[in-house]
Amino acid sequence: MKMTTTKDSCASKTPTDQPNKILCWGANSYGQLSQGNKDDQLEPIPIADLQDTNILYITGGGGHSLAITDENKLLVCGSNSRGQLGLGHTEDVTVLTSLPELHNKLINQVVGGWDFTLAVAGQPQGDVLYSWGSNSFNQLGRSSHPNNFSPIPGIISLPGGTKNVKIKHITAGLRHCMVLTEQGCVFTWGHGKKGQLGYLLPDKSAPKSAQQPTKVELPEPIIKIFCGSYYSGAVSEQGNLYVWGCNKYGQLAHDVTTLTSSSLPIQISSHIFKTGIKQITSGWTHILVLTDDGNVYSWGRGDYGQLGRKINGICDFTPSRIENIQQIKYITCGSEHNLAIDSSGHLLSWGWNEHGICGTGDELNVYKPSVPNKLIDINVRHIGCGAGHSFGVVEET
Amino acid sequence: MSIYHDEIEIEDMEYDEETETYYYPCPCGDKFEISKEELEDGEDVAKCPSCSLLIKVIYDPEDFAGDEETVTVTKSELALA
Repeated sequence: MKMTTTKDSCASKTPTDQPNKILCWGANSYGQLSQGNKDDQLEPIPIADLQDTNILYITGGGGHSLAITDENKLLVCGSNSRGQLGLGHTEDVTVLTSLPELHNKLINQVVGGWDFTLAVAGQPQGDVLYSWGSNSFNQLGRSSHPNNFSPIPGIISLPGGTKNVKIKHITAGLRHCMVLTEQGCVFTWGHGKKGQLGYLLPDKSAPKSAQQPTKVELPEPIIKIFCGSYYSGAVSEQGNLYVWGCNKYGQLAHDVTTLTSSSLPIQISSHIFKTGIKQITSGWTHILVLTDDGNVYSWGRGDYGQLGRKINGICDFTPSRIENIQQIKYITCGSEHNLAIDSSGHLLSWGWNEHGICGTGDELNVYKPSVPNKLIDINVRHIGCGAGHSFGVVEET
Repeated sequence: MSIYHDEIEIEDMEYDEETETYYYPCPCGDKFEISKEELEDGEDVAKCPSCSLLIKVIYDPEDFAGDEETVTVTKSELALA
């Protein structure tokens, strides 16, 4: 069976076939922690009552959560005011619930935007891309009735048709989306006012928003993509890094006083990374790169500790290494916080910590990546974040 | 350091006609909110009901003064009548 995601997933079945245990913490204003309530959790606690459901991958949007099981079923909970859970209604759901509409589909990727969701189902004749939730900025990549949201999954067609399309990766910002095909092509749609779609209209302006997925012209084939709130980026086969969109906090690795935004991709130097880019991921306004040698680099906004290193002022546009962490295997970002797993299976967290988003048991921002007390003896297999909530997929003990 | 998490232009907020309120995503997953009435009163701070973060809303107060003027005109017309 196909593994859940292309996100260098390190989740797997346990050798004894014991289901994974899911820990969660942070903001829970809409029931996104699947606790059957809406109380924040300052420290990791398990999601109970999953019975034999074995979750391999879990992530989140703004206030909703999205999980994929070992049988490639999709589970959802949390905020649902725009139908972002895909359940056909707009009531919040406080316990992970399966999505009947996609029950017979083999879901292999899912991603949450602010109040919408994208998922990929693997089919013998090619991957099928679904969207649901808010369509206020055309982020569903399709028409919807009513116009501004859709509470049930619908199919997005990429240019050239859906036959034999293999989708390598999907990602979403606050209000825009991006997909990467196996051929190394990148398509974007949704909100585009800040240049985050990466292309211009014939009159040389950036599209305010676009329903039709449109190819971003990049000089070479792409293997990795990422989205921030109002910006996007891609890494080529050769290891070159391209970014476009909003630079308000130096996310484009350019001085904020000289560049406000770029509506077309610009290449930024990746020499600083010393070895290749293994993984790249973004919060709302900061970016993390994990390199092949297990080091992590950060840039963008850092006033809540998001960058995991000392900076002067609110942001730092120069990619720099986070010095106190090494041998990192996997990284992920929430809106203003981050999680990482190191080679010994320890989870590290840092950044904004209101609601206990970093899992430390208090709400003080974490400026130096560290292992939350409750997780010191826990072997973490996989991690996932919504905007202000966090998940750890751990070995059952 | 600014007391505001961010400064956001009103046109980047989403307006809900039912609640007559403007909303904007808060990093905690909830939404910053400011009502049309507050904007008409000259208020420019949108608050998140779940956390301590605040955003400053950038808008032209004249855009929200329209209703009041209409009321004034109507009243004076009534007085004349």
